Amino acid sequence: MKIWDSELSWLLCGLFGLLLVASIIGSVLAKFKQNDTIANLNARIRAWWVMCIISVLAMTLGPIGSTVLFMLMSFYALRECITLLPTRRSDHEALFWCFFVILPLQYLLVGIEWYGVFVILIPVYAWLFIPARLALAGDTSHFLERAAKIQWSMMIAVYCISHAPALLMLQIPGYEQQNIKLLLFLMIVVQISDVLQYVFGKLWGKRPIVPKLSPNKTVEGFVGGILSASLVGMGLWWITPFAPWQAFLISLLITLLGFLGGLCMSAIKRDRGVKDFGAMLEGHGGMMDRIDSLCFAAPVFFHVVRYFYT
Amino acid sequence: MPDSRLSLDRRLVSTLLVTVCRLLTGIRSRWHSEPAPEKTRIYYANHSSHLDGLVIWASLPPQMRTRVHPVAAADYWLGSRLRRYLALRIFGAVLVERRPAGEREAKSAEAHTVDIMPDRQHASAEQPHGADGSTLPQPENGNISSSSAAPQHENRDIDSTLPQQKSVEAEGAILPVPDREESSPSIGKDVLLPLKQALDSQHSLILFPEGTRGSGEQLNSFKSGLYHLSKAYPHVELVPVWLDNLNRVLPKGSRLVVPIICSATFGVPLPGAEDGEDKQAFLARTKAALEAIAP
Repeated sequence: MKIWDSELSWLLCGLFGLLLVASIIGSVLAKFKQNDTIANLNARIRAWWVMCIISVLAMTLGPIGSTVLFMLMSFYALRECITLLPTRRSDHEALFWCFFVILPLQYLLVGIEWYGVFVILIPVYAWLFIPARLALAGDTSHFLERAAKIQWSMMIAVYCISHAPALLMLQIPGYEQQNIKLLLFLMIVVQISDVLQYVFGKLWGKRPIVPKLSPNKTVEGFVGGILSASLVGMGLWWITPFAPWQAFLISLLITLLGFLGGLCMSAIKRDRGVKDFGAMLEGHGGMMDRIDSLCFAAPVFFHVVRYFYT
Repeated sequence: MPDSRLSLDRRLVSTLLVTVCRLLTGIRSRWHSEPAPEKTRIYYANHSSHLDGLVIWASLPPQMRTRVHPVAAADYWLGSRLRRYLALRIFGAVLVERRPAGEREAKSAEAHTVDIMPDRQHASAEQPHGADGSTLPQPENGNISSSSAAPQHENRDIDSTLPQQKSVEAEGAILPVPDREESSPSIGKDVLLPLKQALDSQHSLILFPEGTRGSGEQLNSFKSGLYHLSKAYPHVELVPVWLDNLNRVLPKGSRLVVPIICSATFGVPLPGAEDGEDKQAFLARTKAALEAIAP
């Protein structure tokens, strides 16, 4: 099976070239001025290096590598979500099932490319199982709330994220064995959109979109970031089965969804009174802080591609 | 002290355990004051899970792990080969007896209970005491009774484990072990002795002054073992350690582990028991210091 081709090599050169430029800019800025924003910027760039290297290594191992990579991302994200929730002793057994049975099963289904069950395991079976297990535990206090919070965490952290590696199971005529580039396209557009929104926001951001929710998400950052990321997506049309204009529209769609994902996760954090979901990625916060936009973008991107291109 | 002296199996197994523990609990340690690896200290923590000892131990800087010993119940940790190996060879646990055999039938002496041990099973906390309580010598001697800790359905006899203990200690223990020939459990024996020996050789201890695991929601009252130990070693500083979320990882009454993110917060060291400080005041002071660092 041919995974590596010249397009992929170009893509990775571009990706790491961009990181190199970012690192250079970061260190130049640090020479001239030292403040928290620049220190945080450099921490983020360092973490980006680590994330990119790990992701690329995993993906070169083939579909299994990618699936395991996203499974770990789901695991860490789910753990951060559940840690943030005020779970009770009687949720313990249901949570054990979520972490050690349902989550691996979902990714097993991705790995064996069983679309029919993959797409309903969590929204149907896990969704029913969780309240059933809680009921068996016999604790009625805040029952619906507890069930809903666990269901929601499973949907966001496991179900939604699992749609990214699930791209590898799509059979796109004329694009056989090249789906890994589609996965990279999704990841790059979503993440670059976050970066560009951050950059535009820091440079020109004035009017916050939802001031109560996040002062850092501004109209300027939003417009600049979404548009420029969509253009980047269009510029990457050659690694996808899309025409350039299609690549632009699809990028626009996933960056908008990514924005909404980030907004929802900020709402959760704000409500729970924390700034970040975790602290595992230096400068970024937790895993969930990094992949919040992917949660919303991945399932829709998957279904758009599946509907129009297979 | 000497990481280089660590044998291969100890290094491998402890690295493995620490890694698994980190992956599982994402444990992060926060220090309100600089860790002082060379100082002899008594670390005391809230207790809500069987993993507590391992977590504190794993969150210490590696060079400290050979010098800091969790205090654990002998009857539980000598109960199987694996537990014995882990307790003595890997964690370098200081084992104390909480139920000396000779005292089992004696009448209860709750007032003098010096129960510093983690309970051995959930059952014990749910159905505490009295039945096999013990007469205790004067608390001034710092003796531990073990009344409250022993689960009634367990008929483990400490005596029977003693010979094995000796042999294991001989091959693997980190701390000097006293000759137990004469010191077979009997009334009047100083149960805090192993702890004192560790402190005497400039090592540190981790203990759980609540005695048994709590629900994790609030701190239970402290047993007096910490007081007696501190009274004997007033110059040794006490460091409160608040463990957060461990009750959600492996709560009482469950064998299932859920990987919730945990943290260990190390507070500012407190002075040991002061002259004339009575037990109640000391326990209130140490308990308040621990509560103060809870997030």
